[in-house]
Amino acid sequence: MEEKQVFLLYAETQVHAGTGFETGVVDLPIQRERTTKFPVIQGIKGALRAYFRVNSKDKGKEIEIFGSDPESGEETKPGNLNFSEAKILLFPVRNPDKLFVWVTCPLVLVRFAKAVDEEEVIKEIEERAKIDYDKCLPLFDARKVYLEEIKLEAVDIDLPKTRRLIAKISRCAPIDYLKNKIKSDVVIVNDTLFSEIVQSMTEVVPRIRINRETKTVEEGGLWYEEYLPQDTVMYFVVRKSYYNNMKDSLMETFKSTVHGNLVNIGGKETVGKGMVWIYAWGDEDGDSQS
Amino acid sequence: MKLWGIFFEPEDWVGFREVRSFSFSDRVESVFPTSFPFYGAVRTALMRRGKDFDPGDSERAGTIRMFGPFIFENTSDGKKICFPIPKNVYKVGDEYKTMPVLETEEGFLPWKPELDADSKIEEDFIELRELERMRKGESFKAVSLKHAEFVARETRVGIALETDKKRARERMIYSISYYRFRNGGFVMLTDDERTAELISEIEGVFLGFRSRWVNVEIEEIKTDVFDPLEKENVAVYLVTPAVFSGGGVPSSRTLVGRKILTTVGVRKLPVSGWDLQKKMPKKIYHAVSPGAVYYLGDKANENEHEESELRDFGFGRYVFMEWKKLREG
Repeated sequence: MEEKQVFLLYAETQVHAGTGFETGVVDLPIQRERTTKFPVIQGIKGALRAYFRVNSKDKGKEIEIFGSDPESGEETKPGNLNFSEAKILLFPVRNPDKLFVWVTCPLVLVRFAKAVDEEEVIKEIEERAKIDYDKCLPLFDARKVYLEEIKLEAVDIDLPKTRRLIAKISRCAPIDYLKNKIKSDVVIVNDTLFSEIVQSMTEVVPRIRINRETKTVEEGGLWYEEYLPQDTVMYFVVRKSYYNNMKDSLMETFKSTVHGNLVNIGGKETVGKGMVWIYAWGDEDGDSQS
Repeated sequence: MKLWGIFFEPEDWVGFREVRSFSFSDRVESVFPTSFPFYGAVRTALMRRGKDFDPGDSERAGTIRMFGPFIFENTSDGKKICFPIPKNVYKVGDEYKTMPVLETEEGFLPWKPELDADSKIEEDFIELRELERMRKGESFKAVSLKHAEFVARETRVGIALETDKKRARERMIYSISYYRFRNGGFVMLTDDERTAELISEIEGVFLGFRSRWVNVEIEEIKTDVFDPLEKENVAVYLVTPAVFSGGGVPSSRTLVGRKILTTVGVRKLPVSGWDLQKKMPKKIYHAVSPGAVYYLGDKANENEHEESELRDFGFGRYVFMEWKKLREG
C-alpha cells in the first residue's frame, strides 16, 4: 500500500478559494477543475503550514514537513510530505423535504474510492451506478427528489458498498446530528448534472466597500464573491515523499496536529469564512493508511 | 513485437516546466513533456522500493526502456491511446488524407493535390486504432487536443504568503499552466520485458513540477503500428522526438537502411532539463519534433545506417506508413 493519509474537510462556514479577479458576472470566482468544473482548493499546503506553525511552534518539524522557507537565504530543502489539492466529495443543495441534501456523482465517488483504496466500491459504481441525466439515486426513500428547482426521478439501485463508504465519510462531520444526516441524506446524480449543480448552486455574495467618512458606498465598491456553501465535504491526500526515508513520524506529527481541529483555508478569514474541520480518514476504525 | 502501455493517471494535475528560467512574478508555461521526467519518476519509485536495477543517470538510461509520452483517455471500450499526428496529414472537407509525392526532375516533393485542402489542420493527435487504419490506407479520423474533452490546459495563479500573518508577500504572484485530465493521463510504451516487470510493482510516482502524485498501471497493448512495412514506397513518421547528427535529417541522408527522398514537418525542438544529481541544467539537444515524416526510397549502403541519439531514452521511435506517387497529368 502507498504511504499516504487521506483527510476529509467539513466546511463549518462558507469557503472561498479564489482564482483572483475575473471579468464574468462573479468578480471573485472559486477555483475549479477546467475539465469538469468541479470545485477544488489548490493551495491547501500553505494554509495547513500556517496552522501548523501557529499550533505546533516547532520550526524544525515545520521545515521537515513542508520544506524550507525560500526567503531564509539558506539552501532550500523540499518538504517530506506531499499535498494534493482538495477535491469536492459531497455538495450541499437545498431540498424542500430534507431542508438540504448532499449531492455527489459516480466520477467523484470513484476518485475518492481510489484515494482510499476501496477497489470494491469502484467496481460496484462502475458496474451498477448508471444514472441518466434526469434521474438520481437517493440514499433515502423517495420517488422524486428536488434539488433546488430541479425535479429528478429516483431510481432504485442497491449500492451497499457505496452506502457503507458514505457512512464512513459521515464521521468527518463535527456533530452527531450532521453525521446521522450524511448517512441518509445523500443523492447521487449523473456526472454532467453534478457539474452543472456545482457551477450554478454555489453561493454568490455581493460585497461593498464603505467610505468611512461619508458612510456611503464608494464608487466602484460593489463586487460579487463566490463561495462553496457551508456543510460542503472535500478531501485531500498527503503522501510521504520519496525523500522521506527514516522520517516515518512526520505523518503522525502532522496528523495529530490537524485531526479533529478547525482550520482556516482560503480567503476572507476576517469576515468569518474558510473555517473547516479536518478529519483523518480511517482514524476511528484503526484503518489508517500511513 | 510485444508491447506494454504504462499509464500515468494524475490524481489532480501535472505540469512540466519549459526550458527557461523563471521566478516569482513570472508566467511559467507547461510544455508537452519529453520522456526524461517519466524516467526520473520511475527510477526514483523503483529505488525507493529497493529494486535491483541499474538506475542509469542523465546520459545513460540504465535498465529502464520506455518511449513516449503519449496521452490516453479511459473509455467504456478501454484505454484509448493518442499519438502525435503525422505532419503529412491534411484535410479536404471532413476527410483526412496523407500527402502523396510529386516526382520532379530536381527530386521529390510532398504535395497536396486538392486545391481546397486545409493549409494547416487543427488536429494534433491520432488514436491508436485510427493510426492502424491509416497505415492500411483506410479512412481515418484525428483528434484536436484543444477540443478534446478529457484533457485541458489550466492556469493557476499563485501567491506567496507571509505565513505568520497570512497575507500575500509584495510582488510575490506567479501563474503556472499545467495539464488537467478528466479521465485519462499520459502513457509511455515499452517493448522491454524487464521494464514491464519492474514497473508492474509500482502503484504510483511523483511526476513533474511540484511533485504531483500520479497513479501507474501497466497493460499489454496489441498493435502492429510499430512493425516495419515490407513495401516499396515506405515513409516513417516520428512519434517521439529524434536527435540526428545532421540536425533535421541524418547526415547520412538515410533512415532504417533506406535513402530519404523528402520530408514533411521537420521542425526543431529544444530538449533539455534539470540534472538533479549534478544540480545543473542538462545538455540542450536540438531534436526533431514528433510528427515529422520522412519519405524513403531505395535501400542505402549497409554502412550508412543511422539512428537517433538518446534512443535508449525513447527518442527516434517511428511508425511505418506507405506513400503513393502523385499521378502525372
